[in-house]
Parts: sequence; C-alpha cells; structure tokens
Amino acid sequence: MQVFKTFMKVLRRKLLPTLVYISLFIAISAAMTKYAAYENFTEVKLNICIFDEDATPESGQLAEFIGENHNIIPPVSDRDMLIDRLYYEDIDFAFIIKKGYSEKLAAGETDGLFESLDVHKSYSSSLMEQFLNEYITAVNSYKAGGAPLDEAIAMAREALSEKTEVSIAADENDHGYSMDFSEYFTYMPYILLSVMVSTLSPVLMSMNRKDIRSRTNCSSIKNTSYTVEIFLGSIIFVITVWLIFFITGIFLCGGLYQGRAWTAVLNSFIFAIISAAIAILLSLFDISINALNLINQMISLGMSFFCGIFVRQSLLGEGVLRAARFLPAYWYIKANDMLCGRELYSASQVTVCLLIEAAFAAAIIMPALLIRKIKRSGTAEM
Amino acid sequence: MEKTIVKIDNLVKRYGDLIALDHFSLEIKEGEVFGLLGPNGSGKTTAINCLLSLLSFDKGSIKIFGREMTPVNYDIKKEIGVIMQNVAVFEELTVYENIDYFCGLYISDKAERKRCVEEAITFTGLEDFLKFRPKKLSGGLLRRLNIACGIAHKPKLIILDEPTVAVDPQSRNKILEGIIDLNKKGTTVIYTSHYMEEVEQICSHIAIIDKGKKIAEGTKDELKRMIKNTETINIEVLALTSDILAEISALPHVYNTEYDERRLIVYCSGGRHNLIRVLDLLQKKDIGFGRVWSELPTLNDVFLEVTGKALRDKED
Amino acid sequence: MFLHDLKYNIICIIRSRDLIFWLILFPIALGTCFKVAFGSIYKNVTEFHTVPAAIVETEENAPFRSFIQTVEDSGVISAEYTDEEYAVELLKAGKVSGIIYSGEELTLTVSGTGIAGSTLRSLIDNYKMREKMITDTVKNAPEKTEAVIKALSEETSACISTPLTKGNTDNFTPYFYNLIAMVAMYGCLIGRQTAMNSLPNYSAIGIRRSCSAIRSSAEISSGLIAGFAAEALCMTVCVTFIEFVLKVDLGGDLLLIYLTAILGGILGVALGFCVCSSFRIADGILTASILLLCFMSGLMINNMKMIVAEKAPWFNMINPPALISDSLYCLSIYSDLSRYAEKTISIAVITAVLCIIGVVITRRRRYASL
Repeated sequence: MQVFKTFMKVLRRKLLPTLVYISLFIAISAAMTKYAAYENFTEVKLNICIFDEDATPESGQLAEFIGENHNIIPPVSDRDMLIDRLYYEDIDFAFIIKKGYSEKLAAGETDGLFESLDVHKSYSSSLMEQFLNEYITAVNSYKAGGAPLDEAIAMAREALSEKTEVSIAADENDHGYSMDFSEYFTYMPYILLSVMVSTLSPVLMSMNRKDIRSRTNCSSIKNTSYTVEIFLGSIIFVITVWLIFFITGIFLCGGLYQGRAWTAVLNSFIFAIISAAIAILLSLFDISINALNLINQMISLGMSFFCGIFVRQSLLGEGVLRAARFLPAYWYIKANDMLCGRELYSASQVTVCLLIEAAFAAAIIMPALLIRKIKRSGTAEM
Repeated sequence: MEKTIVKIDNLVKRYGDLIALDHFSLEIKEGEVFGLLGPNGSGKTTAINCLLSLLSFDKGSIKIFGREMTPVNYDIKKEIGVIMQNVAVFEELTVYENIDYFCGLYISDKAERKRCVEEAITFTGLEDFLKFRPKKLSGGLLRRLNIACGIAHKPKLIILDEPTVAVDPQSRNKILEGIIDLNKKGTTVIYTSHYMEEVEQICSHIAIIDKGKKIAEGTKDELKRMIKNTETINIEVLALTSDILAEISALPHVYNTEYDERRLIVYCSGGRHNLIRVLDLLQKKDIGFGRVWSELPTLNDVFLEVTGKALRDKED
Repeated sequence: MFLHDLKYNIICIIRSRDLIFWLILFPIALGTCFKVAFGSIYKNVTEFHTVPAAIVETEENAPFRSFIQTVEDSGVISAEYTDEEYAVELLKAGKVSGIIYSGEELTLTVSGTGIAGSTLRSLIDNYKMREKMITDTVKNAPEKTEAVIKALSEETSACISTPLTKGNTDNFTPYFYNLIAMVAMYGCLIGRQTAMNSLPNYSAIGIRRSCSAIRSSAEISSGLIAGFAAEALCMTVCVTFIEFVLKVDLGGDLLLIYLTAILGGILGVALGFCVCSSFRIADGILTASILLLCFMSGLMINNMKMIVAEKAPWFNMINPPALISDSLYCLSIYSDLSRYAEKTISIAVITAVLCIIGVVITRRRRYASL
C-alpha cells in the first residue's frame, strides 16, 4: 500500500484549493438557498414600487389592491438606486400614481393617470400596464353602469379578483425536491470540476512525473497494483468530496433527502465521477500548474455558461443548447431541471440523461487509459 | 602595500536564536582570488548577502573600496559583479538580451555597453547561443550565461557564490579559467564553494568558515601548515601482526596508523624521511609489500580537520 | 538606465506566456462564451415580446375568439388554434407558453410558473371580467348595456411610460463589465511579477537587480510603469474585442470606457504589487482569490451585486472588480456622470494608496532574512 499512502500524503499537501472551493461553495449556497426562496412562487408575484403622489383614498385603494397580489416595495427615493434595482430586476415595476388621479377617475378620464418608470420594456412592465388599464376600464365601466365611484372601485376589485383556474402541465405535486433546494445541486458541477482539476490533477501529475515514474517502474512493485492503488486513492478523494456535499445537502434541505432528491443525489455522484475523469485526463498531459489552472477555469466556467449552470437552460439560445449537448453538464442540468419541476418531468428522460452522463464518464476515462498506456510504453523504450 | 578592497569587521548576524555569523571578520586585498570555504549552512551565503547589503546585520561594519557599504551606495555597487548560486536570468529574454539588460543596469552609454556585452559573450563562449531563451540552454551554458550577466559591466570586484554547482567538467574548467583570466586583468574575486579542488586550483587566499565563525585563514600553504598532518604514507601490505603495527606507531613523527588487512596508512606530523623509516622497519621484519605511495596534505584534509568529519546536511 | 530597465521590463511581460494566457486569451474565450450564451437572452427573456399560446376550443366561443383577435392585434399574444394533443406537444416543446381551453369554462394550462403564464392568465381574467360585467349589466340595468360596452371597449392608456435611462439596458451587459473587471484584476499577476523581480527576498533576479547600480526607486517605478503599460495594452485589447469583435454595446462614451478599463487595470497591477510584495502568495491562491472577488461582483451570477448590495453594501465599495464594473455600468446607465466620477475617483485613490504601500514596503532596503 506504499503507493496509496504516498498518494494520500501528496494529496494532503495539495488540499488547499479543495478546502477553499468547498467552504466557499457551502457558505455561498447556504446564503443563496435562502435568497432564492422569495423568487419562487407558484404564482408570479412581482416586486412593485408605487409612488403615490395623489395620496387620496382612491389611490390608496389601488395600492392596497395591487398589494394583494404582489409585493409592494417601499418607494425608493434615490433615483439612481431605483434605476439599479430596476436594472437588476430586483424591482419589477415602478410607477407613479399621478396627482389628480382620484379627480380624473371620478370625471371618467382614463389617460395619463399613471407614469411608469422604465428601465426595461419587459414582460413585467407590460403585465402591470395591462393590469392598470384593465383596472381603470373596469372602474369606468362600472361607473358607466351607474355605480358611484367608491362602489365602482369595489366592484372592479371584485371582478378583477376572480382568477382563472390554472393547471400546470409539469406536476407540481410534492416530489421531495423543491426548486429552491435544486439550486444547490445546480451549482455543484462547477465546484466539483474546479475541485477535481485543481487538486486531483496536480496530485496525479506529481505522482506521474517522468523521473518519479521511471523510478517507480524500476522498483519491484507490480504495474497493476500501482495503478490500482492510485485509482483507489483517487476514488477515495472523489467520494469524500462528494460525501461532504451530500451531507451538507441534508443540512441545507433540512432533513434527509426524499423522493426525487435521491435521483438528484445520484446525478451529482455521476457528475463527480465525470469531473474526476476529466481531472485524470488532464493530468496526463505534460503541462505546467499554471496552464492547468487556466484550463481548469476555461472548462469549468465554459461549461457553466454553456450548459445552464450559471444561467438557466431555458434562457439560453437554441444554438447554444444544441452545442451544449456535447458537454456532460448539459445533461446534468437537464436532469436536475426535470427533477425539480422546472421542466416537464419524465422518469425515462431523466434516466436517459443519467445514462448519457455515465457514457461521458466512460468516454473520458477510455482515452485517459489509452494515453496512459501509450505514455507508459514510451517510457519503457527510453 | 596592496590596497584593501573589502573589509568586514566583527560582523554578527542572527536569525532568531540562530547565530548565522559570529563576530566574523575578513580582509580582502586587491588582486586576490579569495576563497570562502565552508560546509553547507556555515554562513558563506549569509556573509555574501550582508556584504552586498541585502541582509541587515546586528553588529559590525562592512567597507568596500574603503567606504561604508549601504544599500544606496550605488557608486560601490557599480564596481561589483555578483554571481549567485541560483541562476538569475529572465526566462522571457534571450541570451543576448539578458546580458544586455543586466549590463544596462550599470552602463548607460549604448556603444560602451554593446562592447561590454560582446566581450562578455566571447569571454563565456556563448556566441552560438545568442538567440536562445534560457530554457533551451544546458546546465553548463546556463551557468555561463549567469556569469556573463554578472561580469559584463567589468566590475573591479566579482563575487561568485558557488557558481559551478551542477556543472559538467568542461564547463567548469571553462568557468575556472575565466575567473583566473579576469583576475589576471586585475579584478579581485571572492569565490565561495565547497569543492576543494576548485578552490585549491584558483584561490590565492582562503578563509574557512564554519557555524558562522572564521576558523582558519591564509594562503594554501599556510593553511596546510596549520594542521598536524604533513605526510600520509600508504603501503599495500598483507598479514601485519599487531606488534609490528605497534612498532610502526612508535616510530618518530608517526601520530596515527590505520590497517585494514590490506593497506597500511601511516599519518606523520613533521620530520623527514618518514617513508624510508617505515619501509626500513618492514624490511627488517622481512615483510613483503606491494604499492607504496606518500601524499602531502590537501586542502581537503585541512577542511575536514578543521570542520570535523561529521556529515553536513543542513541547507546552505 | 530607467528607460533601459523599463524597456526590458515591458519585453519580459509581453513575452511571458502565462500572462498572455490569463490577460488576453482567457478573457477572449470567456467573452466569446458570454456572447454566445447571452447574445439573445435579453431580447428573448427580459424584453417583452408576444406570448405564444395554443387555444383548444372544446366548444364554439365566438366572443372569446374576437377578444383574442383584439389582443392579438395589440401584439400581446399570438394564438394558434389546434386540437388538444398537438397543443400539449407544443407546450412540452416550449413552442407555446400555455394552452387555453375555451369552452363553457375558460381554463389555462402552463408548463410551469413564469411571467408568460401570468400574462395569459391575466388576459383570460380580463375577458372574464368583461363577460361578467356585461352579463351583470344586462341582468341588472339593461338600459346601460351600451354605455358599459362602450366604456369597456374604449382604448385606455392609463399609463405613460418614462424611460429612466438612455443607456444600454440589457441587463446581461454587466457580464461584460465584469469580464473587463476580471481582466483588470488579472493585472495582479503582472503586479506580482513586478514585485517578484524587484525584491531580493523573492527571487534570484531580485537579488541581482538589488545589487546592481540602478537606484531602487528607478527600479521599482520602472517595474510598475512597465506593468501599467502592459496591462493597459491588455485592457485595450479586451475592450476592443468586446466592443468591435463581439459587437456588444457597452453603452456610454467609448473613450471613457477605454479610460475606465485602463484605470481599472492599473488598479489591478497596483493591488498585485502591493499584496505580493507584502506576502508570499502562490499563483493558484492568487487566481482563485481574483475569481472570488469577481464572483462577488457578479461575474458568474448576474444579480450577485444586488445581493451583496443588500447584505454587505460596504463590500461593493471596496471590492475592486465591483468598483470597476460599477463605474462602467454607471457610465452606461446614468446620464449624469457624477456617480461615474465618484467611482473612478475611488478607483484612482485606491490605486494610489496601494502603490504607496507597495513602494514603502519594497523600499525597505535590507532584509532580516532572504
């Protein structure tokens, strides 16, 4: 077990990046999981900022009515701050109830009652503008029907409160894996890749350095047992890292995994193997640690952007997704999205995703073994 | 009288509790090749770094060319060439550019610099490698480049700190010849090493330093005279009995004998015709012998005697 | 002597392969990633466009049809009448945002939660509201029916919209601002090299340079200036690539963008110089910390900056990449340049402070140990 022991010793010396990545990831996911909580409602609630210049009971009623369906954000007086928050979609819609609103409403004037403050011409602003128009129309129509203003407002509210039944094609039943919690698994591939390449590759590289390799080859240890021990070391590292994520996940989700979450766990395990395979493959090339660092960033960031880790797959362009199919993280995220209900769930398709990932792992390991073999025979000839 | 180039007086340097230099004094005269000898970790490099004002020290004074050496004494720095044990060249620059760069830190005039750089190139025999990057050079060539960078500006004082570590014999000879050459042109050289033969070959004056203390100083012969041993007699001889051995030990001037069933070693201190006396004794006892040779002490003997024979593996 | 040193310092940086990788190739690759990934997101996602919907008629419903026609004309939705099976297919494939079942009762099926679904729902709600209102009126006050219908069908434009900014509002552009900030931060690597090559306690070259006849002030300043120049070049390459090759509209005055980027790069070099002359920092740790700072300013996740602004606003004030990307953002979004000026001035001040600290540290002339 000499090789294995040495592997572990070398690993211990190179563990720093892993510790950094893991602790940061856990800290950030702990913060993010909570943050993500208010993005996620079955019904879209918008964050709306109302500047009530009119300040009459009528305008108050409107604000109150909007508050029933959306989150009201207290008026942001600093214009720059307002722009920032609208820009980053922290506030979805901001508008002014203009002075004279109630008078105009009473007089049956409909135009220019509000002023919306736009940064984006977005869905949210279109939805809200539509709502405001509809509200005014309703009030006016009730007035046309002979109701006094306050009654018309009450009736309009009632009429607009009636909500159409909406069914969601993707089953929203409790499948044990909330979208909220799925974020944790969404970002995991980036970290797994970074950890594996930044730690496992250097360890393997120093174990396989040419002069050390030659010396080992000269020793009495069997080639197969050398490989097996190195393999064992790598596997233990991979599993340990993954277990840390597994256990942290239990804490973040607040209890043992249930239902589909187990599939997500399996998914992450397969990806851990893929990451290790990539790390092993990279370790076989004769590159400096610096170059490795660079390749690490290229692969992990590239995959994260193309495959929907940092940006949802549903937001990415067709072409990007078509290209991303050739990357394992695409299938990981696809499975994850289906599992949490962000995409239509289909057990068979999830299985397909997992199988494709496994195939990627195999497809990366194969050439790695081949290169190793070629390199070995190369050393032998020397 | 020769001018004193370097004068180190009672230098004390501590690293925490460790005393790296313990009241270390040194005087180097113009035109000398001064060898600073010592085992690994003895304080050679520390002394050099203090001399160059890279390191602060706790006590003592350092004068170069009769003036106090300080980090801002650029006039003094201008006259010193430094070649450290670690190769200090830019990976990104070619051989020529490296020499030109370092030379340019001393000489502003372009034409003069060009001449100096070319001389340094010829001197170190790097003509064929001008466009090479250091990565492509072999160990010996790299050392030669390292030296070229240090001497191109024609300093009056050159400090070489183990410049021949890991260099093949051809390159080493070239380097040593070069140093002798420079010295002949009037340059004073300070040379540290733990290769005795090198020091013996080129140095006119030698100081041995150990554990931060100067333990011996003088010319080669002076040093050799300092030790007990003056002659070591080797005789290949079989079947020597212990009483004969005792008789040999009792001979005048003999202070120690060693015998390992095949070879007799007799250490003598002073006296003349020691060999003949030993052989005489053997003849009288009718003992046949094989090869016989006698050795005069080398610097190595001096070194080992004054520093002790225990293994040194502390980092320098 | 200063110029000689400067010249070779620049040559060294330009020829150093690692730096070229990190400062030119990596940003180009990442920028291309961004462009490919986000090229059309803003148009597709944030910006409003017609919501596609499938309509399955279980029963003839002429009023609803005509209602849909009006909304279609106004460009809110595009409707496709089809049978149920195909509609479900369309929904699964993401070709439509929802299926409206039009029969006795109007129902909606969507694929998940989302703003498009909400838009469809509010449309149906509106229709129902009108339907109810008319039936109510017909029942209670038939004489008013005409007035009500007239009121209902009146074009209302209750809302006037005022755009708050003339800049580029594509909220994926900050990814590129952050990319520029990242390149600026990689200036740390140059600063590190400058420190390494000047200080005798870091490298053999440092020893040789310290022993040479060049003044230490000239040596350090030439190293720094060479670093600034090389970084400025890298920043220029980066901005040019983003603006002219990827054709991303960075918003704001191009000259000021270049200026900000270069200033940011100088901050990066100064930071690397200051930090690395004080501590020995491994390459990996340095690049990882750079990426962490960039992460905090939103290089990986766009609204990270908002999260930080909420939880630890002070951090955005001192986090260098956040400062740089922020000043670019301010340049693009605010017509008033005062906030931009504020950010750039703080960049300049921080740079100056870092340089002074670095120079004070490196001007220490003798070392206790090497």
